[in-house]
Amino acid sequence: MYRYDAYDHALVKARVAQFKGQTERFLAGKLTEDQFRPLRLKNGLYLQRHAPMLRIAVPYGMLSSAQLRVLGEIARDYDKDYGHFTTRQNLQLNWPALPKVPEILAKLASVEMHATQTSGNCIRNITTDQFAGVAPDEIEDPRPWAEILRQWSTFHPEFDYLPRKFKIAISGTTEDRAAIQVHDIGLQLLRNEAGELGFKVYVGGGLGRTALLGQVTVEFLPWQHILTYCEAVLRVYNRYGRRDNAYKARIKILVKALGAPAFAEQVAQEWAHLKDGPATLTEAEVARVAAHFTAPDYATLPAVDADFTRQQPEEKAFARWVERNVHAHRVTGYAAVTLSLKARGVAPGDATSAQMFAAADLADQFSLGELRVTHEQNFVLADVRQSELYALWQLAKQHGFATPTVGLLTDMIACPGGDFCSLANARSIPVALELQERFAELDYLHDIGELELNISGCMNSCGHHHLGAIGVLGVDKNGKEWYQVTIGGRQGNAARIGEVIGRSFAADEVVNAVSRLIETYLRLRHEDERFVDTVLRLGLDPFKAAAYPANPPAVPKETAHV
Amino acid sequence: MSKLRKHIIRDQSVVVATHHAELSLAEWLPQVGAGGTAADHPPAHLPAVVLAPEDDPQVLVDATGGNVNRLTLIAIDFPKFAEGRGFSTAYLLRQRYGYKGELRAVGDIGRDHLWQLHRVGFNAFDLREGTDLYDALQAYDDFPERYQTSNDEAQPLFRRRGAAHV
Ligand code: SF4
Repeated sequence: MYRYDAYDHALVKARVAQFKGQTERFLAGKLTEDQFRPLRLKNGLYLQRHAPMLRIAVPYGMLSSAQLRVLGEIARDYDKDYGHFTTRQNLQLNWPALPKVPEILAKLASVEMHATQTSGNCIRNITTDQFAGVAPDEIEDPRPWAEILRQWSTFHPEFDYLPRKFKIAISGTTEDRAAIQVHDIGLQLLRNEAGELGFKVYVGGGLGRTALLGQVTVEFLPWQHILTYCEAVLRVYNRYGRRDNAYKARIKILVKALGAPAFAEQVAQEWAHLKDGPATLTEAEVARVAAHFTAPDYATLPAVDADFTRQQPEEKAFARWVERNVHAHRVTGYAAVTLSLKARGVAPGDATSAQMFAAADLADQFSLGELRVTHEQNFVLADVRQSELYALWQLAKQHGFATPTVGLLTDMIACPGGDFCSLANARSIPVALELQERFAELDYLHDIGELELNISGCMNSCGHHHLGAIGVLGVDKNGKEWYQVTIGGRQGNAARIGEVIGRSFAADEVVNAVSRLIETYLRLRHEDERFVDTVLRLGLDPFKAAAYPANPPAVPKETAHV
Repeated sequence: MSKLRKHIIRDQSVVVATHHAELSLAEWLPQVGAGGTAADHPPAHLPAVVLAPEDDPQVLVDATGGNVNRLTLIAIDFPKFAEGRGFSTAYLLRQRYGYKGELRAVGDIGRDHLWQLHRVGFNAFDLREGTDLYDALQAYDDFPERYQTSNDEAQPLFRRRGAAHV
């Protein structure tokens, strides 16, 4: 993975010192709360329900075991012994004390980590596929590009006070696993007919109140131009994005208002001034960064390990874990493994300090000392030998990582919701926990098959509910928690925004409603048809009919901010 | 627009501001002649203008017959800290339109904006009421390096990396 050189170290250190000064001036009364707010937000520091929340960047999800140990130590020493991994591959701590934050940042800097631009109206952490570098369908490793973009966007002087936040995602595979079409900029690595590398560029995707898929502004952008092109997009957005209404301030609204062709034309005009200028990438720089992501020295292994073949039929639980949590690897004899953070009774994405230490040990023992945080809020060990899967499984079980449900209903995505987040309309975690209880029976769960269930506590959509085959969204009605349900969403190349099935459900009804949707699906599905495909084949009607009991309870009127 | 201060930071020093930009673009335009060609106005310096966030710097180019350097002071207003359009306006004035005169940031800005404002092309700062200007001078040293190009750095770090050693 990428290692800092003297420049990177110096910059992150300077940022720690700068933020320390800002915090000290705030605590000494020299900065007002209003003046300090944008400064702390740019360092991922929110003031939440209970205490500050600190969001730590995990650039494109990559962690070394040493880094994860430090995260575990920080959670232990400065927080309540656990942290929450988010859909944006970051780590959130819910209880750090403000005066201690500079100390935490210094500790992070010592292992080449930071909280830079994890919040605020600036360019956020660049995200990508958790299987980068090992995916069998990889066209090109996205990580060097993510790192190049990370450096370009870090402390960018012009784009730090944008109309709204700005998220960039990159996919390097034929099947998109980075949800690039719902990002402000989505980049698809590809090769043209001449075999040259470039990007298909999507702009203006996003969830939130107005969920939209990105529009293609360039079909093939040669790799040399990626930074100048992004600069052109950002400059157009910074100048013309709406600033009068926070709900209409994302770039998607600008793209929609102008129309994709006119927007693309405006970007092209700006880009004409920058194209082939000094910010054009060089082969030397790409090679320098890519050298940090070269394939390790893989052993030559048999395609099928004899013990592994024998272990599965002998032990059903192991076979089930292999079926769900073990993934194909492009090198013979190796596999990628998901360490699930979706154990029953635990908030999705939460990991204790002890688990962080344990995962770091597992990474050292089984996967070359590295691991990844996934969009689905799990860990991935990317380079495990097939012959060691059984041993890994045994240890993963001991630490609560072996829940064999990856890709199934209970591997759900959930934002922190009303338990922690001050923006929430409703809580997410109790719904997630109740769903886990309801669908705890593994045979039933496996029979339901692949299904993404995503929960957001409000329209900010941190839980990506629009992209769930089933999406649950917290809404507020007269101060009570209600939940709107969408179905038919999906991630990937054919990304799709889910559709609302009807009026919202009360907190004690929403899990029943999900159950009825599932029963309907089981009744109507064709063989090997996933939930989302059944919805697309039959439309919403049979699901609508099933979701609502005959005598609905009286529904209060929705308040304005639903 | 915020109240103007007597002292400002210019070119890394605290100085007494001897003149200010007080004309909005709408007030300034008639003074250079509605047609806006250089011929309409004597070649002397034009009065200073203060641009609002939404003002397009291209208007200055057109109004000066393509020579923005007939202006010697352009101010850009930041009515609130979150208003970021002025960063792009400054970059364009310097990098695209070749403006060489004083470019002054005014409004709801403080020490913590100075590094970035300086990077995109401002050389003068009328910081908000109550800012310790001598303390603010330290912000010029907030970072030892820059990853990306802007007005203060023509070459991105990746073209300089390896050329020198930190
Ligand atoms: S979706 Fe809403 S409730 Fe959930 S984390 Fe985001 S802002 Fe908070």
